[in-house]
Amino acid sequence: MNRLWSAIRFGLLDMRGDWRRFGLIIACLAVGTALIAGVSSVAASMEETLESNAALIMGGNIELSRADRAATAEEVEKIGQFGQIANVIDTNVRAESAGHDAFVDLISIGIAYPLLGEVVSPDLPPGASPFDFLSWRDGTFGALLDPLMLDQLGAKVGDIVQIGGTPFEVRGVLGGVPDAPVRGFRLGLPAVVTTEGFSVLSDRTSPLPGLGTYFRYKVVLSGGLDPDAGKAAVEAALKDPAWTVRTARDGLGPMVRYYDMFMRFLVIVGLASLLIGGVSVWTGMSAYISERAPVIAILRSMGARQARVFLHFLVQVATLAGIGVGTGLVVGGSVALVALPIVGRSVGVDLPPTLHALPLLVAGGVGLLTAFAFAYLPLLQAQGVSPVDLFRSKASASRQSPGARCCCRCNRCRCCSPLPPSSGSPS
Amino acid sequence: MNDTPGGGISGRAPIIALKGVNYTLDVGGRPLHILKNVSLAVAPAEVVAIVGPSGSGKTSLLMLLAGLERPTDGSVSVGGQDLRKLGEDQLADFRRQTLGIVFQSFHLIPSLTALDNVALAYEIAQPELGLKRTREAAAAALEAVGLGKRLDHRPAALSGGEQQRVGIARAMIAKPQLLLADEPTGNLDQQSGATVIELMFDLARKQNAAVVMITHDPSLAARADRVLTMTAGELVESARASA
Repeated sequence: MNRLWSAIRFGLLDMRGDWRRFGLIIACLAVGTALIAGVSSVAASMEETLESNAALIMGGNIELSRADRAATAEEVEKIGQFGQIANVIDTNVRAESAGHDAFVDLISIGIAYPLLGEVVSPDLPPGASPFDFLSWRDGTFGALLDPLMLDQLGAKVGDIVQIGGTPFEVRGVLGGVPDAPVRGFRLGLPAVVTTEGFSVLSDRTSPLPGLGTYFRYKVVLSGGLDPDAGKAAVEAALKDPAWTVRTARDGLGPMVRYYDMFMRFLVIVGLASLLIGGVSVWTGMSAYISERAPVIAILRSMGARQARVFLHFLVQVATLAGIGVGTGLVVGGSVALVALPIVGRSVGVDLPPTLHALPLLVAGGVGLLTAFAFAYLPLLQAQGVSPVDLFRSKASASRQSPGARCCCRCNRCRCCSPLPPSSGSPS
Repeated sequence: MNDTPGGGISGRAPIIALKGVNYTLDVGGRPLHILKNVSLAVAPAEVVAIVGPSGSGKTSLLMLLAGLERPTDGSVSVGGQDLRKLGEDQLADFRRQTLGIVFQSFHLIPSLTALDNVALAYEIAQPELGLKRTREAAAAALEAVGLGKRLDHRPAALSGGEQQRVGIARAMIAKPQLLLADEPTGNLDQQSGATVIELMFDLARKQNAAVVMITHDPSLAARADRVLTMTAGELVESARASA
């Protein structure tokens, strides 16, 4: 152990004065590691959140949907045997107000909606039922409108706007619905009305062809029924293949895949950065070791074995890699902590700032592996330097005559020697 | 050359025994004879100076003695070891256990202090000692060459004479049987050179180490036990000063 510590100490001491030249190597390793650490941490947080809050994000343990019609009373009764039900109708209509119009992603909610989570609106009293809040009052149904739509329509809370050719009172600004992440990409700006309000729409024509109306039934399974078992049981009970039944995990699948692909892309960016860092390590270490040839020759002249020389420079590579990768992990982890709530807001999922050990370990491992893999050849190059150069270097003038030894052996003769000529007199 | 310079010391086992050594390089398909039939015996603690014109093969001879080059034919035995039979790592062990080398251009590691330059050599020679004892020994070695107050100076902050004294401390700290000196005063002024040589001979005498020294300085050569002259790859004994 004494032997190792001594070698490490001298390896580190030998780096003094060369730190500026190592800046690029450290920076490249740090950037690559930071990218992988940051992206992997965000991906891990997102995956964990989606896994643990899948039911909340979808608004139930399972969801049944179809596009051609609503469930019959008999079907509702069958579904109701498995737990609580909340129904939602998704469609697209046009809204108009004072000569302005907007393309609406209309969410029509049933009385029990939402079973999990809550509709966000600053105008909705705490604990109030959104269905009750938007139900018939003073001659109209109510609606919660996205603030952008209010701008488009030039309307404000309390105004009457036409949705699907039917007047609705704007009762509040819509902040969000709890199952927004699984609704996927939607055309139009969201507005919430009740299913009763939906039933009185005079014009349900879609503003664009091909956009259908979907009748969805979200179920929170009772009796601790497993979602997959619940899905199978509901399918068996309904015996109608027109129903699409999804568990929360199924529902999140496309979303997880989408973000997974995005994260993979960013990881590829990180790996590319590390590759560049690796090439930088390679060229940087090659140049460094070429310049350090006199030191290597001195070590060899003192009787250092090739392994001892290798260790001397391995310590230096390890130090550079440690600093670069360590910096990358700190930066990547910090960026992930800052980015998680922002990413969460953008995708409609609550992503608390947390760090995960595994992505950081993987990023650190990849960073270190890159550094050592690309430093390996330069380290081998260090072993090949001979102390002969120390003798040859002083004989600059006399040994250079008529190429006497220039062609004998690469890196062992004066003309090939990496050592600079000294001012010594010829032998 | 048919005689063996140093043949008269046959009563003691020589530290160096070269017999019929030829060293030839192939340059563009033509042989370049660097050393021709060189034989040499050097006794323990003997001081031998090698003189001769530039390009005569002095440095090549030194490199053969250090195991840095291999002869084309003939035998090279140093410290009882046939260098032709040793592999790279064995040659490194041989240098660590048997040799000290003093260079004309000092060749100190610029990033290390004088103390660490010497300590590194000792750490390589005696890795099991530990850092504290290694540094203590290095400090003592530098004290012995009069640099006790310059331990923490890096080479750039030392004069040429001081650097060469660090080089001598480094070469001698592991108490080698043989010290190879390649024009040790070549980069020093006369006064510094005299001091350095005095020091080197003194340490070699105290440690009972043989010295093989290349020099162009006749006054320095005259202080050796024997002076050998290298001419066009051939070695001849030109003087026996004190043997």
